[in-house]
Formats: sequence, C-alpha cells, structure tokens
Amino acid sequence: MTLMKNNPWSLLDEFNREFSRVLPGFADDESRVVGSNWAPAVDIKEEDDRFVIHADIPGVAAEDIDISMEKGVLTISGERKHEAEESKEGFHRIERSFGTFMRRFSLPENVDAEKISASSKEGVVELVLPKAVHDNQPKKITVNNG
Amino acid sequence: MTSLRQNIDRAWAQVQVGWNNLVSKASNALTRFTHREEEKAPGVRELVHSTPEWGLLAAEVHESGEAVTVRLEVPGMDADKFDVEVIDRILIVSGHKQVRHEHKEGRYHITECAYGEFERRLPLPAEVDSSQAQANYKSGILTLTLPKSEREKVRRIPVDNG
Repeated sequence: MTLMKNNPWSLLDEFNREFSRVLPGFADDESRVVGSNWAPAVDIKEEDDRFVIHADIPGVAAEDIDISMEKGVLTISGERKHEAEESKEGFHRIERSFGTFMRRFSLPENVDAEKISASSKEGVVELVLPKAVHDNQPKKITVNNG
Repeated sequence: MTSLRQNIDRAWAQVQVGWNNLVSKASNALTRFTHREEEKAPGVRELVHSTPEWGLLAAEVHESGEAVTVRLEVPGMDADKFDVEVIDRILIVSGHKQVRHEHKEGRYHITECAYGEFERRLPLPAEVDSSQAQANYKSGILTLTLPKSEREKVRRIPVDNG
C-alpha cells in the first residue's frame, strides 16, 4: 500500500475522475473530453494517401460544428440545440443529449493540416485528412562503427 | 480508517447513482444492428466485422393536445430506407443503415458507428391515426408527427376555471 501512504485519496480521486469521464459515453478513450455534454461516435480509416474520419453528429447544423487543428490535435466540437420550441411539459421520453460536444484526436505527423476538408450529410460529418506527400523510398539508416 | 471507509462508501454510492442514471437514459436507446449477407463482401467486410453490433438510437417522445411527436436520431440514412408502422399504440421504426464509405483499401483505427438492419419499438402515450402520420428526415433526425385519433381527442375534456 505504498500508494496510499502519500495521499490516501489519490486512488479514489482517480477512480472518480475516470468514472465521470466514461459516463457520457461507453468508450473509455482519452478523446472524450470532460466538460462537454456528449461525444459523437466515430470511424477512423487510414488509406494509403489519407485518413478519413466519419462522425455521427445528428441534429447539428453544419455551421454549428467547429473543426480545428492545433499542435497536431484535431478537435471536433459544437453544440446541439433542440429543434422545436416545445413546452418542457409533455415529454414522455428523452434519451437524446443536448448541449456541447467535443472529441479530440492526436494526428500522426504526416497529416497535411492545410488540406483537411470536411463535409456533412444526414448527420454524418466526413473529414478527409490527406497525408503529406511522402517519398515512397524507405529510409535507410546506416549504423556507423564507433 | 473510518474516514477511508466513508470515502469508499461515498465513491461507491456515486458509482451506483451514475450507473443507474446511465442505464435509465441509454438502455432503451440501445438497438441491435444485424448485417445482411451482401455486406460481408470484400471491401465492406473489414468494417462490418469490426463495427459494434449495438448502436444508440436516441429517441424523444412528446405529446401535445393534438399529436404525438417522435424524434429519432439515426444519422447516415437514406430517407427511403426507413419503414415506419404503428401497431397497438406501439411505433415500430425499422431500417437499413448502409456503409457509405468508399470501398477503398485501408485500415480502420476506430470503429464506433453501427451499420446494418435495425428495429426500434416505442410505446406511444396515446392512440394515433397512423393514416395521417407525417415523416421527415433531416440532418440525421427522423421526425414523426402522429395526430391523435378522434377518440383520443374526445377522451380529454378540458375543464374551465370559474
């Protein structure tokens, strides 16, 4: 129990933090950010010359989705507002999440940030991230004799 | 040691509250997706095999004096791939969500989106006239407006004050 010696609560804190992070979704990866109300599901595919990301973001207009790239981290964020000005009363079932969403991914260095493009169709956002032009020649590293 | 125990109890109580909250909110929305034979073709196979067999189709049911409005989040569908019916005050929405991605060689790093055939059943709070139902699919949300049946409208008699 050496861990408990310095800070008896660190384990519990960690556990609580982990739990609250996982709560909005079922996945447990780092890309779901604390502080947002929900996180969209994604598919990430790597092809020879590009990465393709599909994110399920139903009910959010294209202009309410922000995509940014900073220091190799791609952030997809935005806010889902309710479609109709219905009265708060009369709801029999509310499973949908509203409010802010965010998801972050560290991108490999070979992504060309300038050429990232995004489009949205029927609640699915498609991001295309071309890889920087690479020379196909495998790099040969010679080991010098000391 | 007493305070340690209290903290553990408290943490555990939080877990239970959180879990119950999650289950009550999401368990109904959890919908099974099954794959058709043709989706096991090369190209799509890799994705279809690794995608989850369960997806969240979050719904919302609202009742007003005149109609029941149902909204269902189903991103990435073609509007004509939905099948909607009402049987005994139960709304049944089924459909087929196809893989839209280009069939290009590649490797999937993350696959969280569900594909395939699904069916979601939602009990309705009132009897509706399904022949008058309207359906609209926009930005991944299926909105169904189901006018209440005449009998249902008559059933409720508003009482005025005074």
